[in-house]
Amino acid sequence: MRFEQRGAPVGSEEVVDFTVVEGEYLRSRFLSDFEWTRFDSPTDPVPLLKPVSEARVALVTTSGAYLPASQQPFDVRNPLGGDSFRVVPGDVAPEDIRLAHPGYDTRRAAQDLDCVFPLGALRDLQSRGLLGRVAPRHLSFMGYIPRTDHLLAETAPEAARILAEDEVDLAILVPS
Amino acid sequence: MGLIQRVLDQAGISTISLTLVCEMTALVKPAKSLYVRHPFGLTLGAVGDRATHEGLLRECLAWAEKALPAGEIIESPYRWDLDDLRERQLRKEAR
Repeated sequence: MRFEQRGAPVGSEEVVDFTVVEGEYLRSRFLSDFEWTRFDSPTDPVPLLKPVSEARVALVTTSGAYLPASQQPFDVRNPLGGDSFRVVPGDVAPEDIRLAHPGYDTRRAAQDLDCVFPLGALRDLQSRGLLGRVAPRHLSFMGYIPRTDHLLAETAPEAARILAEDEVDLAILVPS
Repeated sequence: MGLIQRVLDQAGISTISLTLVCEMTALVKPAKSLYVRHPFGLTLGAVGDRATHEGLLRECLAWAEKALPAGEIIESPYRWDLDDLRERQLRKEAR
């Protein structure tokens, strides 16, 4: 099924437009001038130049994952959110990761990190030859970023630089 | 999520995203997305549901290899049928 570029999906079973609900929630509680960042034109897909079975794959999560032994947790109390990210090594043990995010109940995913940051599942696919290689570094944001100028100008380009430095062929972005 | 994806697209990195809210993705228009009607915080599926986690990842990988028009949002066949958590979340009645 495909979707129109604006508005609710064609044939949607859901009557709730979450962008309206969430927008009103944020304006009433935190940011009276909140507006969604929007673009008129899509970005062009970058073709994958090799089969997935040969590709180096990185995850970009907005689950708020961080390494408590060496990294600060995301600030979940700031009404302005935050656009910083944490670098997560590809060989990290799931039990060394914690989640900090104001927008969802992290207790469920804390029991099974693959629910929001499927590094374990990705490694499993690699071990079975279904993808080339799990990237050496993965990136974790906390998805509540109501102010997006700095994200677009500084933080996300830095994330792109890291993935390019690691010669990542494909980034899979996973929201929470 | 879509904003970060746009920057990666423009940096020449091949991307595909999962999205839980297709209306949000339609505002931002990243290159390629897979829409799954799962709850927030359970993007890949329920706790311990390895088959669904892997299935969705494999779906991402399969679509990543395909040439699609810019801004395409594909709907995943996976559905959340364990409870009404997603519906309550969409109404801001649950986290």
